[in-house]
Amino acid sequence: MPVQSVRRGISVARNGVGAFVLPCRKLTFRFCNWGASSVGIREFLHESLNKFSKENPGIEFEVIKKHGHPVIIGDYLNGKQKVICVRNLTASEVAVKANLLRDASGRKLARAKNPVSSINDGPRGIWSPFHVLEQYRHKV
Amino acid sequence: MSLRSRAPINRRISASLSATKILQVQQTRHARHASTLYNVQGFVQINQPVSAVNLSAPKRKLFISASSRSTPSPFFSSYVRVSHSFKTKNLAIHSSSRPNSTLATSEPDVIADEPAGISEFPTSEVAKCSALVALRARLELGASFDLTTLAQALNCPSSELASRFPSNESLSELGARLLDFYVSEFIICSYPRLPMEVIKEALWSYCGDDALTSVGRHWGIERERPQITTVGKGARLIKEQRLVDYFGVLKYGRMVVGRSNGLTEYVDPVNEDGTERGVERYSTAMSNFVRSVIGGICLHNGRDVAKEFIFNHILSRKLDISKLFRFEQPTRELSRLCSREHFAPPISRMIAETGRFSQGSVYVVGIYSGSNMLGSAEGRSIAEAETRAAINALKSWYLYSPHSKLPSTTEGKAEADFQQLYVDPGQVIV
Repeated sequence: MPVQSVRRGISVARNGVGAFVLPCRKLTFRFCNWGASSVGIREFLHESLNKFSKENPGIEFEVIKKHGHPVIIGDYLNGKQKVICVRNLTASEVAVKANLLRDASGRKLARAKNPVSSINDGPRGIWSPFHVLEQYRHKV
Repeated sequence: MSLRSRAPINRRISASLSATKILQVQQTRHARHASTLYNVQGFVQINQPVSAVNLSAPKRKLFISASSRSTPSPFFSSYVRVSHSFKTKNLAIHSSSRPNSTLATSEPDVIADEPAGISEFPTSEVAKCSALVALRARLELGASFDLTTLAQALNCPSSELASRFPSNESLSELGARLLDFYVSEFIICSYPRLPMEVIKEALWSYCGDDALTSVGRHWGIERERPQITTVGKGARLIKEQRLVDYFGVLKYGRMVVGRSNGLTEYVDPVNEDGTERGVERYSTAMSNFVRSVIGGICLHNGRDVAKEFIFNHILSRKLDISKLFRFEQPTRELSRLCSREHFAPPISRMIAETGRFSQGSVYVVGIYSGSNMLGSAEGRSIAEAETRAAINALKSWYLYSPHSKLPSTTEGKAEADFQQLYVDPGQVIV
């Protein structure tokens, strides 16, 4: 057998190269129908949720009535969850938090150590001291 | 035995081991019961009615029936045997798709009146499933793609629901053919000289089960939750799901039921009465779902849209084909290639070297055919550099890419559009 194959694993997803799938797949709004800390989220749900959900058809929305402080929970494609407590926030502030969860990638927050991170090889290749002309090589 | 000192439910079961008896337990206390059942000697079956299947389930109840091991009830459709931690004791867990589970008995004749036949997905119910509606929008399938087809794509033939609603078997077959055609066309037209083994590997990397499972996960597909999450000390029953929510998750017969203490528990693929139980791997079920979506797009929106979908979701993924090669005799293969193609025989020449008598020597070798350099590489020894150079030369031959137009782009158009493609004489035989 002249050429054999090696299993290098499956192809790697590149979201946005072909199709783009929004990482946020579900938003859950939990509010209290009685508590004063839920005033803002109640107004948001009443006034803006309809429009917000129509603007984001790819996200599943769930509204839960439960006692306690209100929270917004985002579920992401990578299986992670992000939870933001929106107690005592106004409706517009709740909308900011909802937008934040919608736009999040779902990845854990981490400091970017390199300015560029890529799954592709560098287009210039790796510099080699042996492929420069003889007169420019380092002489010991 | 210490059985008497345990929870009352144990005593009741141990007392009724010889004869089949059904005990009703309120589900609010299920967690404790599920964990204490392991101490019961004999064959214990827990029957939880799935109200997801049963729209008219009156009240959540947990049914526990105990029977001797030699007379398993044919009523129970699936169960798990847990035998790693207690040698003579088995626990059976199952969920029944029987609509009227409240009348559960172990009499075989009761099964006869189980509703037979498969009905269509209820359109109005499916439209209420928010997960399905969101999924359709997320994948930009358009309104012409029926939600019932999406619900069908999520219903694997091994699932409990497959006995009531159509499964994705036919859709996934169609999707698999389309995927195979377009992906193999893409690979072979992009790299016409690829050896067969590498083509197969590239196909697996693009549209094998594992790759499609990754695609499905990337679409945010959840799977049906098991009736019991963990087997063992922390065993607990899960709340039932509504049928509407059930439509939006991937449903299949689970092969792996639980993992505890580093052991994986599998379902017995054969029932006690010898019939086969439908079980699938997660990757099989998920990949078949992705194939079914592609098949559904072909049926609802046409083959061109299906092709575009495959290019956007499957072929847009990154795969480095040059890393899939493994050469056994590269220098010999290269010389065979040169003689076949009537090139001058390949000769290795040293381009540069350093530290020949040191520990860190580096050699750069190029392989030349006449005055043309076919490939070059560095190595710690001369032989290594020569081999690497031959591999580079062979890869540059096999990875020839003419960027030709795919034949499928000219489908339905005038014959003049079609350009004949490069056909390779085949890989080098050593």
